[in-house]
Amino acid sequence: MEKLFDFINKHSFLLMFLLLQIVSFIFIVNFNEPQKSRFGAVSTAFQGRIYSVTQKITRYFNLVEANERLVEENRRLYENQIFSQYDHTIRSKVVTDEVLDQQYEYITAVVLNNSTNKVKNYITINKGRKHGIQKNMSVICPSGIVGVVVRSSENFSLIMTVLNPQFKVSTKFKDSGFYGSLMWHGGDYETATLEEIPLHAIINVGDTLVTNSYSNMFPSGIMVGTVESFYQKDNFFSADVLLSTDFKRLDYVYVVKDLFKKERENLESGI
Amino acid sequence: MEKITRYFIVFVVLELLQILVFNNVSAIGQIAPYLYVGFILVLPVTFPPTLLLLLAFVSGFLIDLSINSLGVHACATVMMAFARPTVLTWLSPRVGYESNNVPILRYFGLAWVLKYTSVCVAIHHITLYFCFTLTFDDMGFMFIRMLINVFLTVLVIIVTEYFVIKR
Repeated sequence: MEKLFDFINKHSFLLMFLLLQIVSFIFIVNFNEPQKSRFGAVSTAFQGRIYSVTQKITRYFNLVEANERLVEENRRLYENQIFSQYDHTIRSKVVTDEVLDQQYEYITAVVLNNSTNKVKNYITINKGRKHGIQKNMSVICPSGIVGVVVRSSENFSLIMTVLNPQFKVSTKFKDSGFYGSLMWHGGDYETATLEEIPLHAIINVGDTLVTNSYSNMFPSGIMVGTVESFYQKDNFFSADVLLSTDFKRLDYVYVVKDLFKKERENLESGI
Repeated sequence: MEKITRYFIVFVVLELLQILVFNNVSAIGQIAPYLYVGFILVLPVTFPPTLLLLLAFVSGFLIDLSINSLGVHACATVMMAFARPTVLTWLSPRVGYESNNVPILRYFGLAWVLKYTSVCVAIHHITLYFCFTLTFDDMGFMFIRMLINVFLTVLVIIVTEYFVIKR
């Protein structure tokens, strides 16, 4: 309290000045019409400025909340999108033929997840056991082979693609009929290696390679790729194969259902 | 005591002169000499500044009451009284002021009084014009009017000092 009085005493001149000016100003803007309206206009403008500034600031602080709201809204919108709905219809295309018996059925599926640059590459598709997909079924796409089902759950399946060192499939030259094993040793997702081609085989760069049915996986004659180059390795030829399937652009695939697979397996396992 | 009475008489006379005569002299538009501020100017150099502010407020407020412009003259006069000590320090003679110095023509000479009065009156008028309009629009015209008004007020104050406060 003493300090307050001290302060007032010390600055009495300035305080008195401020007090009197404030009193005068209050008189001016309250009892003089032109000044009143002028002050009104100025104070309104000032208030407007203050409000807009505070609004800007509070808007900034509300950003987090607004963001959360938007994310929530996005989530809801995504859920309503057609690609978020799980397709329960089982479209199994059956090619009926009067003369020939049906051996293969195709189940269309959409690729949900895809990898091409790992050591072991897999893709996930949106069809599973419920749609008749089982382990070891082969998967193809319009431009060539894709891989083989390694695991399937109720609604999804995991497919080991050609771009996986564990994947191995018997492949033949479309024209000459010589065959070898197609493998992938990592690296480039566009090329694989065809190994164990007999030395007497006639190989030309650009030869077309298709699947054969030796490995009891793919239907015979599915496009694999073309020979890019070849060389001798031990007692065999090896060829670099430019894969016809573009694994970077997979979206729809067909899972091949071999109706006679069991029968053949039973027969072959009996040897 | 005698001094206080004399100042009181000066105060009353100046206020009355302002209210009854000079406020009606608005011959050239809004320009009128504001003689009443002379009272604040002629108070002794050592007059307590806080009291000076109060007196300035009262004198200005009386004028406001007479011409129905509450606060305008009070504000201007208080502003002038606030500036007065600074102006006095600024204009102080080389030897400094003596305790009984009164800043009037008789003691300080025409040149000094002219400077002192002009600066104080200019401060008063600038504040006054601003309080009247509360805007800085149309500065040029306002400035000219203000200049003429300052000239007029200073003239009237000095003439009054010369004739009246000579005793």
